Order: sequence, then C-alpha cells, then structure tokens
Amino acid sequence: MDCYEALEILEADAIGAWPLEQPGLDAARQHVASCTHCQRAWPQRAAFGRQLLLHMPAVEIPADLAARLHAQLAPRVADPPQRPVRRRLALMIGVAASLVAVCAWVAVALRSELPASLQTLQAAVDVSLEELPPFSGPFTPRLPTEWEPFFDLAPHMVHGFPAAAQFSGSNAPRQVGKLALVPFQFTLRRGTEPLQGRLLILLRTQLEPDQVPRESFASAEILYLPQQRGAWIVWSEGEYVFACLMPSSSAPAALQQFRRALSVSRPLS
Amino acid sequence: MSERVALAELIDRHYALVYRYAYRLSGSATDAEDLTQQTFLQAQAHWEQLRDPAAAKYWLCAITRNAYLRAKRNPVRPVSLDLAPEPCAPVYPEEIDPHALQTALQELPEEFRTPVILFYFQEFSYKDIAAHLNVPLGTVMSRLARAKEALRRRLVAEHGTTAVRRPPFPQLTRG
Repeated sequence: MDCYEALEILEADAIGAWPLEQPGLDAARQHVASCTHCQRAWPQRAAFGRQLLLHMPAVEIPADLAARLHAQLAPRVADPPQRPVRRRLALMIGVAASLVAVCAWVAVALRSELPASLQTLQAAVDVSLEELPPFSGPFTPRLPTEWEPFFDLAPHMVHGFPAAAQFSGSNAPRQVGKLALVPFQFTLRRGTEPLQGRLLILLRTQLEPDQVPRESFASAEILYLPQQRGAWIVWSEGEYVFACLMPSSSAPAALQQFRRALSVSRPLS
Repeated sequence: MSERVALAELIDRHYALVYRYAYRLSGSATDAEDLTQQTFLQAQAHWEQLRDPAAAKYWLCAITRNAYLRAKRNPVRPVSLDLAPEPCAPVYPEEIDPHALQTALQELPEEFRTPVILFYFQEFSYKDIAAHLNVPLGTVMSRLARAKEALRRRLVAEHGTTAVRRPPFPQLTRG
C-alpha cells in the first residue's frame, strides 16, 4: 500500500465512506502511523477533499430542460415506433431478397417463435452452461459473409482469434430452443485468466422490432451487470441479432479484447 | 403504472442529476443537454432493463457515461497518472478558484475524472462507483487518490504558490 492509497482510505473512513467489510483500513492506519510523509500530508489533505466539494461551481439546470425532455419522449411512448421510410423500404427489400434463404430455416426452427424482448434475450444468454442439453445435429444459420472467417458453428464456433489464443474447454455450440448459444473460452496470453463468455445468435424476427439492437458490431452497446458480475453486449448484423455475455469482473477489458478480436478480418485457421 | 407515466416520473426525478453529471463529464452546457436527451432516449428504448427502480440513478448515469464515451469516439484505454512515490512536501492551495477547479477537473483523463465526479458531486459510494465503472473497489480508491493529487498539483500551480506557473498535467502513460 502506498501513501496515496493509505491516505485515501483514511479520508474515506473519516467521512464514513469506507465500507466496513472492506479490508485495508488497518493497513492504512499502520502505514500512516509509520510514515512521516503521510503524517505531514494528512491534515491538509483531508481538508482538500472538503474544499473540492465547496468550490466546485454549481451546475445551472436549463429552465425548460424537463419540459423539453417530456416533449421529446412522451409521444414516442404513446405511439408505436415508426421506422423511417427509407429504412423500412431497405428492410423490405432485404427481407424479400433473403426470404428464400431464410424461410427453410424459419420453417424448421422458428415456426412457433414469438417475438421476444431484449430482457428475454439477456435471460437466454445468462443461463448455466451445465443446464443446457447436449447439442446434436447441425445448426448452420446463414451468417453474414463478413462473419464467416470467425464462425463455424459445427463443431467449433470460433476461428480467427489472435495467433496466441489458446482454446480450452468445450467450444461446441449448443442449441437452446430456437437460439444458437455458444460458450467460448480463450486465453490471449499465457499466465492470464482465460476470457469466458457466451455468444447467442438469433434472428432479427425473434425480437420485437423496437427491441432490435443497433446494426454492426462497431456500434454495439455494452451493458454492465450490477455487482461487477460482468457485462453483455448486443448488436445486429443484417437479419441476425447477436448477444455476447462476459460474466467476469474484468469484463471491460475482456470485451475490448473480444471486440478487437472480432473486428479484425482474419483467414480461417 | 404505465410505461409512459413511469418514464415521466423518471425524467422528473433524475433529469437534474443526469444533466449535472453530463455537464461535469463534458464541460459544456450544449453537450450536457444532448447527453441528457440521449440518456432518456436510451432509457426509453431499453426500458425493460431497469429491473430495480431504486437503482435508476445508477442506470441512468451508466447510460450517460456510455453516451459520452461514444460521442468522444475515444476508446477506453488504460491510463495512469504518474505521481511522486509519496505525497512529500504537501503544498495545498490556500484558496480554490471555482473556474480553475472546473478546468482542472475537465483536463483529467476520463477514467480519473469520473470517480471524482461521482464521489463528490453525484453522491455515489465507493461501491457504487466500482459497480458503475466495473472495476474493483481498490481501483476506485486508487484513481480517486491520484486524481485528487493531480488536481492539487494543478491548483497549486494555478494559484502561483510554486515556482512553475502552469506546468503540464502529470505525465500520462498508456498501458
């Protein structure tokens, strides 16, 4: 523990902000008791925190901000979501073009599928892998071309991660209802914790239209789970929706690595 | 309660908090208003993700920060503030100019600025900040300590109590 950390803990404790169950307080006290630097720094430093609070200029709220927010949002809640004409037209063309290719799969796998919400999607990803039934038979949804270098759903899901990646555990895809759920685990460098997660793939039509996440991985949204349980990331690619769950305390770093790994085009390994 | 009513309540209860957070993140009233609007639009679009209404404040702040980071198009990279090994020869500003404080805060790297904002101005606890940033509590504490030390050095220089009138911010190293 260095001087900065020791003083920060003492200051947090002094204002009742240091969690009781959190270790470190005794060590901080011992450090300060034996450190002349900290003993000299402590009185003024504690006051400095209060000064920050006192002297930060107040933020003036625009007078009609609340009214503008209500005006902007309320109609959208009341009315059903409207797609822009151009987007709707493009979607219709896309649907028509891919109808033949998709309908066979839809007929077999999705005939009884009801529209789901993102909450359902998250719940589908956040399941115990041990509870999944063993995968049997081929599951080969037609992925966008740009994803082919990275995905080969039977029998192994992930290709094209960095050369140093070491795959371990089962990468075999499993099928959950009408969804493809693929556990993955890989290690970027020796000695580091493996990155674990689950990638879920489903059809855009399985979600309510206004629930479909943004197009392209580059604009995917990262949602952090509370209590540092990890994060999940959702995005859409054409007619498919992807959701990746990273149940890890190091989720931000893992997601960045995952994002980088999937963003770089690589040949099939 | 209908979604519309609940959203209206959410706005009424939290719009000032969201705006203040957005302002302190961005340093601009215009950007803050844009971020506030984006935040509530996102909240509306992903309403079902708010499972615990008591946690709405944290949820909205997370949306605000994500929107801010996206707007900056600045990928999150590890940044550290290189400081002296111990807080030797502590010199603190005799008085703090509010404008200088706002400027100094704005110049902190985002990952150090955000904990300061959340702790001092948004009334987040250490645990709340850790959950918000998805980092261990010790990391929050360390970032807060280093951010305050960087602020102190900048404000002391600003106040003219050191030989160097306005030194550069502590050197940044990217990991």
